Amino acid sequence: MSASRSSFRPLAPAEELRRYALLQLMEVADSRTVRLALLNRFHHDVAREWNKNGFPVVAFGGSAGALPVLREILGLLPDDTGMAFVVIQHLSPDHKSLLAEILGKRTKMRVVQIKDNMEIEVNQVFVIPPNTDLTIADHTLHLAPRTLDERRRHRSIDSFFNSMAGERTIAGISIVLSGMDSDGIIGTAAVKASGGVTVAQEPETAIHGDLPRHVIADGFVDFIRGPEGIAEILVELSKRLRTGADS
Amino acid sequence: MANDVEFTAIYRWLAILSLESLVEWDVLVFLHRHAHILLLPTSEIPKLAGYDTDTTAKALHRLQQMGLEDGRKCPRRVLPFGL
Repeated sequence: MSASRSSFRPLAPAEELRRYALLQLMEVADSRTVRLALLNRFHHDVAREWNKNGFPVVAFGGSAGALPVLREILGLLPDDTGMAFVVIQHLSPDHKSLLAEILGKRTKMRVVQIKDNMEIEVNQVFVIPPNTDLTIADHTLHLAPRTLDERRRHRSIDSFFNSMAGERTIAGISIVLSGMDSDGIIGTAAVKASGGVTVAQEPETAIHGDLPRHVIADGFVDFIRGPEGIAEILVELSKRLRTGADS
Repeated sequence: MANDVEFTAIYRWLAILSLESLVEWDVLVFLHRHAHILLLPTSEIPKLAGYDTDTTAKALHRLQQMGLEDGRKCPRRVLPFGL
């Protein structure tokens, strides 16, 4: 068996996840929350709210090999998409990050390294600093010391995607790029569940395809594209969200 | 009132199962709770679930399409997915 094939093991097959979801829901079957959620017809309500607020946030999550893809995508995007961009990249905790400077050379958009309580704005790129976890609430970015899960894995992509999914006033678009490990699986499902748009880099175009491959295997990805295709999708979504089209 | 975390989790579970309506949810809960004692033809379920026949039939059909209910295993007994 080749090294690339042996490195891919789906962590949460869709059927197992469905079984788990069913059991979780049955645990709270008497809760009013489930009925409220269904009454809200959440997909449609969230979509309407997004159009009303007109504030799409595009979150890129990546690890090893994501930088060249990010540079390519940002280089292909116009500087007036009406979207805000957030980059969650696994970074070395011991070194100053040059990510914002590097990305800033490929786009006319303003690229900044995030500071705690920074307000997110459209047509700008916000880059996570090293050794931090990032969340968003009320259009404000919040930093916290980075945490690792019980298996000492990064969860910063999940952390941001989850918080974005919980925000009712932004249109969440999650994009999982090249990388290893499994950060982003749970967050992608959350974005999809909140009515968001989910994208994964085509694993064959990634330097390290594990991360997008795991996310795709879970079954919650709307689009699987290479860097150029991802840029095209973002331009198209930008047009549709601006005009209020919902399909 | 449920907090945002609980709402987010529930939205996620509902989306994973592709559940879209209250009737689908109610029928699924009914089947789940009566899985061990239910020896009824499918046509009897509407009376017990509290919806009219057409509405319940549509919900059952959709649950079957989603693999959450399998009426083929035993025509007179409906079994919720995976339980």
